Amino acid sequence: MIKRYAAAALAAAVAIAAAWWAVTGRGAKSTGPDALQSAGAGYQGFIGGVLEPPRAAPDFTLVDQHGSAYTLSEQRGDIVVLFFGYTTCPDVCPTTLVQYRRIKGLLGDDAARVQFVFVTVDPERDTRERLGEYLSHFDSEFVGLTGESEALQAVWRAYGVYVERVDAPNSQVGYWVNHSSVSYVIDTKGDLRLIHLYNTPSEDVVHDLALLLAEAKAA
Amino acid sequence: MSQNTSRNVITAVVAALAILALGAGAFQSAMSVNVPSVAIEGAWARPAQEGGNTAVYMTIANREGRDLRLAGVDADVAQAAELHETAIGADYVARMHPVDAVALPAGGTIRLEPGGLHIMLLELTKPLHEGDHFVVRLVFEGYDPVSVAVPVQMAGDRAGEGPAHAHP
Repeated sequence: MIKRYAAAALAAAVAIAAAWWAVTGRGAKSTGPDALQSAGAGYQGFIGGVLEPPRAAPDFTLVDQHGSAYTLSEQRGDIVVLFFGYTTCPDVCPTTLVQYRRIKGLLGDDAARVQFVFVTVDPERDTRERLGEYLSHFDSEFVGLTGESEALQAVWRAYGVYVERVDAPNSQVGYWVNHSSVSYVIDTKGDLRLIHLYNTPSEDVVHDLALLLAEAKAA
Repeated sequence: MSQNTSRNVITAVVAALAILALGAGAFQSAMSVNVPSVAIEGAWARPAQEGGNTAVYMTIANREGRDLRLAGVDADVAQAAELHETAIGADYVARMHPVDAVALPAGGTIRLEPGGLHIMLLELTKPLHEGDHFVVRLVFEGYDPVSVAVPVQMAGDRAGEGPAHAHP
């Protein structure tokens, strides 16, 4: 009973925030000028896929590229954009990271409250050093996470991430990894809220992140 | 038009054509080498560290007048260069598979672009930084290799966004 009211209250708060946002323009700080205009807004005003009702994002502790422990539940207050990939991937993963760079730029000052986190699906090759070097080509503030195989498998399972290692006998690459290509968006309260498909336009992602940030400010 | 002016105009036109040819990236050997007539546009590759991997993209148009098969690629800047194709299925899983050869019918065009066909460069022998250039050789069956100059940049000409996808 209480849960239903809470969910309704949250939905109402989001609706009010979105309406206020749309009416008054950009809100507190600079976000991309075209972020709202391009909105093909759908459910609850979001463009991406909405997880309804929101549920707590499965918690985990992994190791970042600097060797520090990174615990998801300690990131409350920030939005976390989560992607699962690997450094040997030449195409989908770098494309996504370049988009994250662009999204971060379009967010302007709001970028300070958004983390872009890259969790490896290839612990065998993706040491923290390799992750650090790889991510530094895109943005050294991006977080790269690796860990023991069992720890990572638990995270992949928790998020429903498909990971398949494919041996490549005729290729110098050795093996590659087929993997889910979506981005997961966790809000400032630690709830898993949105899914963006690979190649969702940056402006659309910025639109959704701005909505979540507005919701956090209104709360 | 005075003689000086017309000469200047001709120089300008020649210069413009030369610049256009360089920009379009249509490299063909003028010597007695058997190179197919292909037009290459929009070649680019992402930066990466030494020892790492990256992808090369471009559009290739067949102007040879007969069917071609792109059967291999070569690059001095990597230990290996291979053709691969990414496919993202209805389950949103990105799968990659090697491609032995790509058919390029007469008058046709193939696009190597993010999320699709690409040249995978494996174990780079040196780091690639934005602004660098390197050469990739395209091997079409029955012909000598075509050399392509590839600039290193963060994204293709469409400002970092990949091709429009129809979501399944």
